[in-house]
Amino acid sequence: MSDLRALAWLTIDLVRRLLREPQVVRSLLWPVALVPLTLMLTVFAYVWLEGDWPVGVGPSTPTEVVERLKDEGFTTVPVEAPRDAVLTGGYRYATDGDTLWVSAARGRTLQVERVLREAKGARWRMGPAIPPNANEEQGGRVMGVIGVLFVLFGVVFGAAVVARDRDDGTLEAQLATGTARWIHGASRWLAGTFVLALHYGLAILVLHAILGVSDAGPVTRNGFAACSGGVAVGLLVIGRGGLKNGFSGPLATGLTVATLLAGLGLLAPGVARHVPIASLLAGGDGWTALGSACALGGLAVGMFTLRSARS
Amino acid sequence: MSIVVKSLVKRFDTAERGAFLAVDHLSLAIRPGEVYGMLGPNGAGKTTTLRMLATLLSPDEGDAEIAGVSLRADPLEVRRRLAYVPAEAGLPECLTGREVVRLFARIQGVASPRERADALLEAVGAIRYADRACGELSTGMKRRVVLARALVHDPAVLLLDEPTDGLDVPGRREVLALVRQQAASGKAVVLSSHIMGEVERVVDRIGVISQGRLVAEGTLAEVLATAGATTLDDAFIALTGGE
Repeated sequence: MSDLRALAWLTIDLVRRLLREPQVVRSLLWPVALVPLTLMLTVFAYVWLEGDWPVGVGPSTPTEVVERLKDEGFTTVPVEAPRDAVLTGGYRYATDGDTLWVSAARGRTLQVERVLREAKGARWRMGPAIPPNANEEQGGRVMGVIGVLFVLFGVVFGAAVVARDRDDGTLEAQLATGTARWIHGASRWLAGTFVLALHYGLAILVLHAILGVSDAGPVTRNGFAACSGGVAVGLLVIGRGGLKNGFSGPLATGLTVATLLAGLGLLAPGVARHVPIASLLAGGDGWTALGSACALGGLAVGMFTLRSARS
Repeated sequence: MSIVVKSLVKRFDTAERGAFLAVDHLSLAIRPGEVYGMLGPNGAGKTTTLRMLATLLSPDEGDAEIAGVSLRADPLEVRRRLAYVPAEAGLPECLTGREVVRLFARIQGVASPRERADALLEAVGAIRYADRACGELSTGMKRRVVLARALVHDPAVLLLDEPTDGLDVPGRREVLALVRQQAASGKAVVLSSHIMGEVERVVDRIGVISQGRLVAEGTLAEVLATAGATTLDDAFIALTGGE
């Protein structure tokens, strides 16, 4: 019981320390902000490219066509020679009532074509455009990519919460207290996982609001497993429970391992869906990945305990 | 005895020095209420000895008893009975002194951790800046907070590694006064240092360590007599070969 109490307090302490560090919070909010920012830029670029370009109508264009175009929301401008109007770049689409000249095929071009076909009573015509649904599968894929970023942060966290405390003497002071050694490893794993999972959850909420995320449950579980797995990898590679080895070398190893695991998700999705980090890009319901992540965390804590006892 | 060290040995094998004995069959005994000064040049084995007693390093041979508990048999219980203050403060920069002391009280199962932490911060004279982030504290202020943190579970043994390192003269005096105060309350205090003046003032007995071995031990007068010297500086040089 006293061990669990100590574990809870050390975890709370570490979460507080991590959240008080502006650099940590900034780095974790960055992927969360990146999603809406990228989507906003995409929408802006789309609207700018698509634009509200007027349709040039030649002198021979029937009034009915002109009226239909206006009904569809187009601005029509009379031009002497519709083809030349497009050729010179002044217009993106122009018609003489029989032919439609366009400078590039876009959604609005198809809309003009539909009006013409209807007016001419063509044998086939296009139906009205159906507004696109939120593509929820895309949302899941984007979360997979964001999850990989969180994994990399997780490796850094797992390694840094040992290395930093080792360098400033905090770890030694803690290890010299009358608490079991495993508590100090477990609290670091739990705190790192919690802080990452908190921001990953926020990223899911933001993305779901903007794009929609299908199967939010599995996406969340796979993401949490990946965050936890990343911290565990960081703890595993940092070396002797604090005690002597450096930071950059083990960190590079950890980042390589995490990247390879993420790649496994694309190469062998059947196996990867049960492996934390790999399951981010492989899919799966996330339960087994979550279980494996806990096992990996246990291994990291066990290694920390062994190494700190042997130092 | 509060501390009984029995033929402790620690070997290291490093790229720079190769294999060497950092602590070579070291034996000593320290009574409750006694301040024991561990003197020696840099690399003599003082910190290695303290770290073994604090169970941060495992000895290759020998054993030690801290407040009656064997280091090898029950390291966890040993840690419950001592406090180790390393040379580095070990204070997270973003936490306040009060938060640090409370955390150590809580993880060690101290009853009424808030009250205990506040009482100790008051006792060591750190209560005025207890709510300031540790990263903003001076070296002297940090030392006081570290002492409060070490004393929070009322240990029987206090191991202090270079406790006055980096302090100005008033800061040194205050910390040494606190050390004496702790000994007066019955704790056994081991203090490692290479500053002779402060050792002379505060310790009851001195152990001089050189190349991992205890080369002289006793009261100040006894160590001076062993070395045939009139000052501790001269005795130190005579006993350690001026390393």
